[in-house]
Amino acid sequence: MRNPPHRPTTESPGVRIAATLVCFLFLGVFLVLPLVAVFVEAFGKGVSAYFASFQDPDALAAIRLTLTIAIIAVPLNLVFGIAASWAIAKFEFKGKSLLITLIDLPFSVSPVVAGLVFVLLFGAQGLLGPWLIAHRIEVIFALPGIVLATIFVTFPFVARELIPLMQDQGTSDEEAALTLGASGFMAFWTVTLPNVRWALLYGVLLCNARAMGEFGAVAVVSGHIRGETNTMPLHVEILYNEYNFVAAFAVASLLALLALLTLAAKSFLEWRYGDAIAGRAAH
Amino acid sequence: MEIRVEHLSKDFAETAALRDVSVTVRSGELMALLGPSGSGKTTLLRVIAGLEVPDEGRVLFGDEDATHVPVQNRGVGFVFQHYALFRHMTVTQNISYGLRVRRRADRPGADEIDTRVRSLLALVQLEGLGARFPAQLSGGQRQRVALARALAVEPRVLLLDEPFGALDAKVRKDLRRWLREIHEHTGQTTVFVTHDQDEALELADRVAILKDGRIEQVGTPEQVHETPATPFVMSFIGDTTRLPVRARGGSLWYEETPLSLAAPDQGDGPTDLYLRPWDVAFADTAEAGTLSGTILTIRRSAAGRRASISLIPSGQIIEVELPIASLAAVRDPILLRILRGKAFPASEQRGA
Repeated sequence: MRNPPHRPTTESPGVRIAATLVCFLFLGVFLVLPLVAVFVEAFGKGVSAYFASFQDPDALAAIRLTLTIAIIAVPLNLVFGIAASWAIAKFEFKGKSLLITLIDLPFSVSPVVAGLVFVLLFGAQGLLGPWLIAHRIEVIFALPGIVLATIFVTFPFVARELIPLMQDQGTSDEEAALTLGASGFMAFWTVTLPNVRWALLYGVLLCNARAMGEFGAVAVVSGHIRGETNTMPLHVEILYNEYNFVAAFAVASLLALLALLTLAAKSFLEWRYGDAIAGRAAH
Repeated sequence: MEIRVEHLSKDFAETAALRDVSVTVRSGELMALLGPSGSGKTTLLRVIAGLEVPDEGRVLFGDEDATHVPVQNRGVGFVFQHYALFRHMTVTQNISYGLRVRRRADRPGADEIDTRVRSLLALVQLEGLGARFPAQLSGGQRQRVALARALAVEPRVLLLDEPFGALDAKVRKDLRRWLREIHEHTGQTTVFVTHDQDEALELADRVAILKDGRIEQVGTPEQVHETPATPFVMSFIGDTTRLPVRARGGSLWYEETPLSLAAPDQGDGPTDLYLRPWDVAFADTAEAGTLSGTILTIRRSAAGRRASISLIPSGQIIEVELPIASLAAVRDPILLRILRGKAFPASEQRGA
């Protein structure tokens, strides 16, 4: 007698198909449909209207500002992420678990709260406000405030990618490099970094996507000054509130496009270097 | 290069890893650090390498006090238990790493590095695999790359941490013999860590046996096997049965049976007699000094057959090697004669 066509440890085909269908339906309604809607709405009045939206100086300023923020915030978080994961994975010290918990804080705190914290610290009525005003340093309602808020919400991304991988890899590779005569810096540069390069890139991609897309924290500290402190997400909201749908969705489509590109790059990395990213790098 | 370790102590957070350890590795010697896990053998190796700093004591390379010399400048080649090959580099790049990271003034030219790598690949019998990545090699091949990489910097001392621990039995045996050959070829002072007594005895010129961070005995394989200094060494080197006996006037008694074994150095009183499976022979007739017992089980191993025998009337169990021709079967009553054994004053904890 022939055995049933599926493995004894697997669900029956009916259950599997049902579960898969539910998944796709859910994703379709909640993810794919809205994404399609963004592009449909953006091109609603034709291609020329779409591209005209980017001629607006305020839109250009918003794009420029968002890029500037990403260029500042992402490298800073790259350095922080490497330093934090290096310390956590390779050294034993007191307060290590506290540090790990703290790194996750931005994931659990509402971005609005994060923004408010910076207003409380650096705002005119805030803790450091009078000092900053006396020295004519603008933080809140200016670029530094937006960068600070962005760094706050994005700083777990790189560290979170690296910590498990570095912990898994242990310290013997570095020790081997040291016994062979490499200095600490050489060991880091020639052994540690290459060992985590794909996870690092992956973390940077995610960090970048969030840095460009952040709304809540930035909304609190930016002040929405058009052409000056408006980032792309904030600009989208303003246009939308003014019933300028084509322009709103046109800018939104740029953000969506960025998200799709990030996703594509991430998928490619996972497909190509999945083992290395997951820390199972053949050894 | 002679290595002397003097009064080393090292504490980790909870446990003492090394306690007042002194040992000398002679120049050109192949020495094994043998002990169960947690005995401190790997810590000792890492202190010699400079990967750990001792709390107390000194490490001398020849006459030079190397205790505080940084690991980079010690001139040690270290082979890690799991190889620690650089996974993003080819075999050639791995082997040449130690030469390539040198300061420009000390760095050999590209041609010289190339020549060196070639000869090392030949030494470890991996010619033609220089362009492979570690992931494309078998465990034994990776171990050999790790050894070639350590040798490339021409270390004063070669240190290996459980070098064959992760390999299967057959590969282990081959690599053992091969490491011995390489050692004879290079004459390099070599220390390796193992928990496998066969490996230590077969490979090493001398063996240092550690337990709980202390050295129990240092000696040639012959010495530690034939004249173990402590009960621990006796039972760690090979299978043993401990028989509680009593010393009386220079001879040993098991219950009321006088054993025909002299123990002139033993003071009167409870004594532990340690027996190897081949220290006990079957006897045909009951006479003075024979013990009787019943065979409980017979087990087959690669080397021969072992019987567990329950002595009558005490029920004490001893392990005996069965002669090849023996027809003895389970539940047979048999007579035994103890041919030799090693007596130590009775330890407190009974029943091992």
